[in-house]
Amino acid sequence: MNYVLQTNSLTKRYKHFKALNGLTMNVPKGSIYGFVGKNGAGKTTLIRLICGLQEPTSGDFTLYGIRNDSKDIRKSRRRMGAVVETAAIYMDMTAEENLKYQYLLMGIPSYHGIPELLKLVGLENTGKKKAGNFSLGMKQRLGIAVALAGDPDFLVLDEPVNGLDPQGIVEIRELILKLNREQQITILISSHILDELSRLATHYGIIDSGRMVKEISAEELEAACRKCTRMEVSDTAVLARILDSMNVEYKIISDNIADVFSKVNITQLSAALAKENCEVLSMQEKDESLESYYISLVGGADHA
Amino acid sequence: MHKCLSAEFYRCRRSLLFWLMLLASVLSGVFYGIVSMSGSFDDMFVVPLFVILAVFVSLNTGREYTDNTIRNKIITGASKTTVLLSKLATGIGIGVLFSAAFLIPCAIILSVDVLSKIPVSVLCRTLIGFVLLSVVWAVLFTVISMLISAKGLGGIINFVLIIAVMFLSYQLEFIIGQPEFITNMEASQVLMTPEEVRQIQEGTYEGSYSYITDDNGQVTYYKDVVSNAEQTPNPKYLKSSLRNILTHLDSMLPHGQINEYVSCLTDSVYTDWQVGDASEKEPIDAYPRLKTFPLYSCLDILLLSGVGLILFRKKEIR
Repeated sequence: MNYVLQTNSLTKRYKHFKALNGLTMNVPKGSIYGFVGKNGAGKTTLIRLICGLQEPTSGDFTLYGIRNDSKDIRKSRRRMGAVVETAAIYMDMTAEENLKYQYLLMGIPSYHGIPELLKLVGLENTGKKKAGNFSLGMKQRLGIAVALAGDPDFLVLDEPVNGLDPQGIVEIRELILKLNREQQITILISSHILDELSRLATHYGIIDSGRMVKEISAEELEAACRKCTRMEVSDTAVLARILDSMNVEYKIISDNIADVFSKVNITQLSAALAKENCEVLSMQEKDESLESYYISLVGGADHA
Repeated sequence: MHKCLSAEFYRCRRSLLFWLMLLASVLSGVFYGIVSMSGSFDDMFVVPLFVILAVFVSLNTGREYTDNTIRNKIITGASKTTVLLSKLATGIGIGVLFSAAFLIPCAIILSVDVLSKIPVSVLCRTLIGFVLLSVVWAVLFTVISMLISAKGLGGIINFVLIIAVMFLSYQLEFIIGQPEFITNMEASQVLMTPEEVRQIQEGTYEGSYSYITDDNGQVTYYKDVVSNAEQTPNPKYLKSSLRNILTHLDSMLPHGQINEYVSCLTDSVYTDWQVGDASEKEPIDAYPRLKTFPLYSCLDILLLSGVGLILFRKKEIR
């Protein structure tokens, strides 16, 4: 698999505090990578490191195969755009002027792509309005437009829907999906709003206390979160034979545990198992959302 | 770096603050021209230009941190060195532009009555030196503002630096200017002759005198006659090594240079320099430090830029 970004035991220490603690992650090309973690987990710190705003204390990362300590890393960065925390825009300039500034900064000789870019983010009618007078959603969209100047193929968005109203959230979501589907832009989104990420991400990286807890694809997550009945029996071989005869979908987890996905008549199943001298030790319904999956990974005892 | 510079100049052109400060520089120059029409140049009235520079650079650069736009420069692949150098180059350009905006109206106002009395060599040296000083200030303010993320704090520090440098240069000049010997004098007052009274009335009398006006309006003039003058070593006079160090330090301070420049200009207006006459000194010979000031200014610029680069590369940007 081709990876746009790979980090290798990345660590960042601020005086006595470790914001990142040996973080290893891989962002596949063409994916929408949802970077999930609670406040203070290290999401923004990682983004600052890959954007070159700060240097790691130890570890390294590669961007398009170029190591961060290589002189060519700046060339790799020209292929990315980022919105870190808040939109980085000049409040005393209009949307168009902000983009012209960015074009000059990137050495793009012609401004002809600017009207199209403004239309893409829905700011084509802002005219001479200064960015300082924009709503929060408009500022976020302008920040994304600035990040898109120069046609990057890797976009980093740090909590892009923070503070947005529901319509704003929908607009940003649709923009992100459009960019990924139509322009094949790889997108790294950090967020703690799991529900929003679940509508977007193709891959997830779950971070806690500066460490990567789990990396999982959307398909794997769906499989892990699928509604089922988890049965603990004395012999799953017997259970499997009976479930096969009943045409019920199941998955054997271990010698004693199996997940049964289809709805099944428990009385009939129990009677059939008893006939074969197979004991049913426990039975529980499993219905995990991304939220409960996340909580189960990072621990949520104090949320109970 | 040229990409960063193009972007910076584009932003300056679009900035209302830039045009306001440019206008303020012009008005300061007009004001300085008016107050200098007597031919006496005062260093205090140059300070507003440096305050204008401090305000513009602090707000313009500080805004990069407030709006977080400094991130964009680094994310697009510019190194921190490039970012700072482009800011310094912009600062240098602003320093030259604002000083020109100050000097041109000032020169226009003074051209007929005052500047025509000043030798061209003095004028040229002063103009070049003044522009370089403005550049030194602009570089200093840029470095401070780039290192301090808080816009307001950077502005306050820059303003305090202007005052601090000014007072430091005054102190240094007071210390360096101490004579090697001091004269202890005993003097008495003697009635002036009619010829001497006539000279006073014509304004040609040289020497100290005093007068008393009685109830009838009759004025009586007395002159001070020194009966005993004794020269003793001045305890405040510095040894040559320390004197040299402090002189170099004063030359490196922008305000130290300003004092010499305005003194030279004032002297040039009131002294009848005989250019070409070997027995008379050139104005520049009376102010030998003026010849080296441009070098000190260049050294200031290099030092400040070097320190700024080292510190900014270590700075972590949030």
